[in-house]
Amino acid sequence: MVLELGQYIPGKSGIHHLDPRAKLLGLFLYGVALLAAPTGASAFLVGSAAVPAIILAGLPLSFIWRQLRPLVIFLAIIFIFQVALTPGEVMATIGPLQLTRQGLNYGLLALARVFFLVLAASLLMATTDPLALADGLERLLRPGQRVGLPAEELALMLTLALRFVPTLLEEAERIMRAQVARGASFRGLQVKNLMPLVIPLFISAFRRAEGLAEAMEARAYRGGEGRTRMRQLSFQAADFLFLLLAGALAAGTAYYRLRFGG
Amino acid sequence: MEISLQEVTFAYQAAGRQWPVLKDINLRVAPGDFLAITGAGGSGKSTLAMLLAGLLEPVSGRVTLNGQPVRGRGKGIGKGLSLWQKVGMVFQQPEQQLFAETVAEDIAFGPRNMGLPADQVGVRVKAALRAVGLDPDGLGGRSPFTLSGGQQRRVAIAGILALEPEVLILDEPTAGLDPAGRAGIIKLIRAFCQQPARAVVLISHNMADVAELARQVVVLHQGRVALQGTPREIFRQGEALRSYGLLPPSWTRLMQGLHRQGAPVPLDVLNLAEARDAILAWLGGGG
Repeated sequence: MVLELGQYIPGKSGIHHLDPRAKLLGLFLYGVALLAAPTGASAFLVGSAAVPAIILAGLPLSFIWRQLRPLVIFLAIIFIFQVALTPGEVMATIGPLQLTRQGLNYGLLALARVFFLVLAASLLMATTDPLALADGLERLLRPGQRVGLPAEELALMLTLALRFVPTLLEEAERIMRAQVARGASFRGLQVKNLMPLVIPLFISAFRRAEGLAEAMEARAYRGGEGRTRMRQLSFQAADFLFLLLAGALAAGTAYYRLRFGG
Repeated sequence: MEISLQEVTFAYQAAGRQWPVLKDINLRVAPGDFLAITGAGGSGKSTLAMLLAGLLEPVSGRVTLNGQPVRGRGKGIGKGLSLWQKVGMVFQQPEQQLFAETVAEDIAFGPRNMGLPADQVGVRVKAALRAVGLDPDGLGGRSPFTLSGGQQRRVAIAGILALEPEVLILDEPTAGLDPAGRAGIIKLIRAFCQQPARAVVLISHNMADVAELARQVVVLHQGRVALQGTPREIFRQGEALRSYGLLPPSWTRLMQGLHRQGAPVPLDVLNLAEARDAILAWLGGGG
């Protein structure tokens, strides 16, 4: 499979069973904590809070690695730029570049923020059924409806988009095979080389979208107003505990920053 | 070009598990052959087609071209690659892979990928369009998306014919076409296989197509070769076919019905004309 980022791995762990709203809010609070952490070391400490959750979720290490692998080069570039280009107290000199203590700190901070945020986001995606995720997002956005935020429609769009990811991947594979049979090569990343794949894929996506719209209308779908759900979300003790922990992490880090760092 | 599969087994891998699709397939396609591969949905027909076209590699077993073991398309180097160019594959609903702005451009895609000079590409495009019964001057400059479904499919097949394959593999080429469209496709397949040293592999669960075209038939059932023989030999075994989820063509079923009623008619008619002649012979002989 080409695209594993954000893949859902069904399971029965405690993390899998958490309410999607709790997980979404938890990710948000975790992100706040990461951004609030003032130093590289503290960001790593905050970030490592995700490790117990990953262990609890029972995700294989190889899966985690595959999720993060595409990031490695990106992270390395961020790190090197921060370390080399921040002025301050010089620790070492390599050619024209000067390594500074402040640079190292900022480098580690940026590294930790991106790394752990992606880690936590892929944990959320891996342990949450995409449909439950869309449900959770809709419930969280619902208060926004009063000020004109189309929460139902957004959630529907998200659900449909997620629903069609595997379908389109399959379609892409089929079209690629057909074009390979005509001697096409998809090795290079030139846009021109991708046309024989992208154009048929778009045409079929539009056709599917039209078909879906007709099928929904034929079933008298008329927007979200007053719709009931098959799956009812309810907060359990574990969800409150999870949010409490995430909240404590965010609040603690924010306090630490105000008190000691900045 | 001879394609041969020896002890070929194939399984799809998903979520760390293997889903077996084909088991112990032995198959040979030689010049002059017209092989039909048939079977109920999920019997592994399309997978077998992709193995024959080098678009998948077997989990175990050997694929040889002209006796040489080869890897899949794009995997091997040198010889394997050029040998696969002689095998053309028409996918299910091939019109969905059209992408270029004009019909001629789309058909030129394959020959260009082969590295042919522009003048030869032009010659091949025209020849391919004529081979599928379309007018190169009238249609060549039009957008493929303005054509009818049957015309689009013929353009897509022309895109494969322009590669000048020696073996043509077609996966359900008549599915979803109106009767006129189907007749057009049958005609062009027949014209292709009448050229010297060409072979056709037709994947279809449409027994009428199989009866009308094929010289050999392979029936797949749950990933294994269940029956193999000439169309006459296959259709004689109506009961076996039914147990593999297939129905003989309607005229064969008519003959079987008449036979059960005690009429002395042959069971292995291949088309409507043979059925008519058999019934007339029976009626003429009786009256």
